[in-house]
Amino acid sequence: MKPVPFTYVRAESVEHAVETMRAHGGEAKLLAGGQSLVPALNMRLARPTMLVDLNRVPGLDRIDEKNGDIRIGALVRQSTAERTRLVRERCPLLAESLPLVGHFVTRNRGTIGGSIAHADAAAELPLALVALGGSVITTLRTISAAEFFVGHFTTVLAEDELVVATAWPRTYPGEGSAIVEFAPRHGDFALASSACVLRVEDGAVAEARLAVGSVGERPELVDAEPLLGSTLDDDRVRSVGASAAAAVDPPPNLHGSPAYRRALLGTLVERAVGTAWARATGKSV
Amino acid sequence: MRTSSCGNASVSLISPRDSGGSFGIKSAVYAYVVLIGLAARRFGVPVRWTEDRLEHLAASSASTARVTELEAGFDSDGKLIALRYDAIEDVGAYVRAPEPATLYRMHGSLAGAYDVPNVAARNRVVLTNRCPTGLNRGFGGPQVYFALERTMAIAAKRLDLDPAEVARRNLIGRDAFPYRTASGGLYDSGDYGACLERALEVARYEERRDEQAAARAAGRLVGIGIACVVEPSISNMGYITLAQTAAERAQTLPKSGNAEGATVVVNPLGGVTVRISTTPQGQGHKTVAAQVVADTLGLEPADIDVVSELDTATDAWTVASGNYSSRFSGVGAGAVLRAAEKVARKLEALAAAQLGCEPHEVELRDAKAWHAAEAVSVRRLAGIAHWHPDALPDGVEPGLHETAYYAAPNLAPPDEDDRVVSSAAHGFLVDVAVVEVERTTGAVQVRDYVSVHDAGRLLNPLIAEGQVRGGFAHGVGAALFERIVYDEDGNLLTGTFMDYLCPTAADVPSLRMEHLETQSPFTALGAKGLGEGTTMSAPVAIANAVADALGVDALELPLTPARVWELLA
Repeated sequence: MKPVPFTYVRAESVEHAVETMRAHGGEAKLLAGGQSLVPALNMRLARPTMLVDLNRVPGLDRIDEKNGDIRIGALVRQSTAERTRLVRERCPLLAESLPLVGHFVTRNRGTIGGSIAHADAAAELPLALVALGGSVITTLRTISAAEFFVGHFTTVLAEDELVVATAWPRTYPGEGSAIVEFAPRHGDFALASSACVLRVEDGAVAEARLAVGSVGERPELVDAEPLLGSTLDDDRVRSVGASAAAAVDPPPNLHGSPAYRRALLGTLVERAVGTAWARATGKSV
Repeated sequence: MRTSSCGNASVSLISPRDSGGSFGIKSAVYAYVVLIGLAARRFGVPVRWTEDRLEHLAASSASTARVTELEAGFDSDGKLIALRYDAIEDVGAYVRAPEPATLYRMHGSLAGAYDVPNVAARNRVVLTNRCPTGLNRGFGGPQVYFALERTMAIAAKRLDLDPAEVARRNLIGRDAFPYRTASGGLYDSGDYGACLERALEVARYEERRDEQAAARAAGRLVGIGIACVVEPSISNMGYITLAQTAAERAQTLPKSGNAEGATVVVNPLGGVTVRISTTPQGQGHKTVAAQVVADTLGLEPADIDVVSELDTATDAWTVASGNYSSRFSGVGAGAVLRAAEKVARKLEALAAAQLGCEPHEVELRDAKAWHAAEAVSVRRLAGIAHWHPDALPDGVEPGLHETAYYAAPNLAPPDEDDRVVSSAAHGFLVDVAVVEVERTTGAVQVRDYVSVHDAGRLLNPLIAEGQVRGGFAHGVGAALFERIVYDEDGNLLTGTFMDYLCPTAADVPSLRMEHLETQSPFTALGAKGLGEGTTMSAPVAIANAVADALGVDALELPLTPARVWELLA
């Protein structure tokens, strides 16, 4: 619980933050809500020589709708997003994900951009962003979620590149989504998780996106093709769950063996798909 | 062993009023306690020890891990006639006092709530490279009852009897108290049968069994578990010496009992202060001490100031003082009562001289001393004791400052055959747990949990309820969550509260509780300890329910989803 000594810089602007990062070539870390970084510092799992505090940077705390996306500034607190009507109405998958992130006190500090940039393989927001096909807007470019996450705690961000906002595709009538996870206690990192977005037309699945989390190096889309073109029944849902489970190779974990986590994932995929279907159609599987 | 050259009088303990949580962690002399003393002497400055979470989880103290082989012999009527324990206790890296006491705290209660004439126990201690062990709420109880009550549940299956019926046939009868156990315990009082029947009633046991049959028919995994637990309190200091042979014990000063001191002071204005030496960490000792003194002196609890700082150089204490083995309501409050009674007797003597009657004719109530319709205020009596010694009756000393000690009776040292009255008071509780196991995830949901508890006279019902709920949370932790894990190379993997899982408020199932009151004849107020019962009962009650749901015998705690899922596979 004693961090390695570091220098602290309060960034005045995005440009200032980027310059400072550039000047320290990989030795600096950005501090947003600090809910993952500060424990990592205290446990000496992270040993940056400099912290660049983003919390006073203006202009990163807006939520608005643009071109069919809900665009959320990087510094928007998770609890703020959770309470925002636009998020609840236009992006129900994000709204459902947020209460699963840590605890309400950590969400009062934790930011949406911070959770995405931190890229914990078991985190809910990266999983939801991948499932929705959203994107990450940085100081240099816009990156699709599927390309953004490389591995556990690893993204394609350059050393002097800053996440400015994330873009979450809005929902349309006929869509249903769900995120489910299994953790030993509420607020713990999930042992397995899954998120699903379905668009239903004339009683059949017209579009399907299915992602799994916690069981590999990053949240990943899995094959949702078998869901397309029909109504969903138990067998179909079960077989999608089984193929998703067969496709992953979760590492052993303090709270569950690979076999357990694989089986758990199959169950969670079934639940995510089944719930998304029910929400899209008002009918259970 | 000589570690520091200082006179015995220069070693004392000062414990602050608010010292925070404990649950047993403070009941050991840690290496750092000695080291900070040495460092302070070496450098001539005050020295403070700061320990972070990782250091604490890695190397302070943990509960013991125990493997118990328990053989139980029943006659054809389902009557338990013999128990044979063979326990192997992992005490970690070295045996640190008071270990291996985890093995002996329950020595007098090895047969739990059952009338068993024959009990044998073999205890072995192993040293490993794990964190050294020590006291943890329930101290030894969860380990004994996991073995005993699992055995009773398995026996019920083999005897083809309902577990409640097996308990019913074996509980110690209400007329048998005080009851001498085969291992030397002396149970003070109880009505175990009534407690069992009430628990079954509150839990709607028969209905639950019907619901279980219906759920099973529908493919659901529902189980019901019972635990009958005798909750010892007020440990006999002598039981720790059971780790020695009888011959070794004969060489040293015998140890017994569990004594406590308290002081009640009345100032010249009639203000009353109580000093206690039980070092509370949130258990409400001050509240109860004020109640006891107020009741004894005819005052209101709000009028009593209670001081819980302890300075061993000046306060009334013994080596047994402190906060452990749920001893406050038995001996802590007992010492307070005795000190208050001394003050009351003196006030009565002073009042009798003022009112022209005999001391025994004086009644203390409403902050006055009464004889018939005449009264003199406690404030005036205090003024006399302080300001006006000339008015004191013969043989009455000036001042109003009384210290008393109280020790529970009947706590002798171990005998030559290793029998010991390991505790002074024995509460009783029957828990009924109803669980459902989710087949796909292995998650255990506690659907209902009932605990009917008898801890003698409840000195403060609200505090009693808090203690039972808190003990239950610890029991749930042991049942479902808490586990210290090392990797193959001996690295600790559970060095944070994200890895070492304690139940949070959201993870503790709701608990329905009731209390019966069978007073203890062995404590001053008839009260028994009650802070540890549900810590002892909940792990095995939940385990019995899970075993019943899964139809398996072999279980290991905690019953994490992954473990339960593997039992289902």
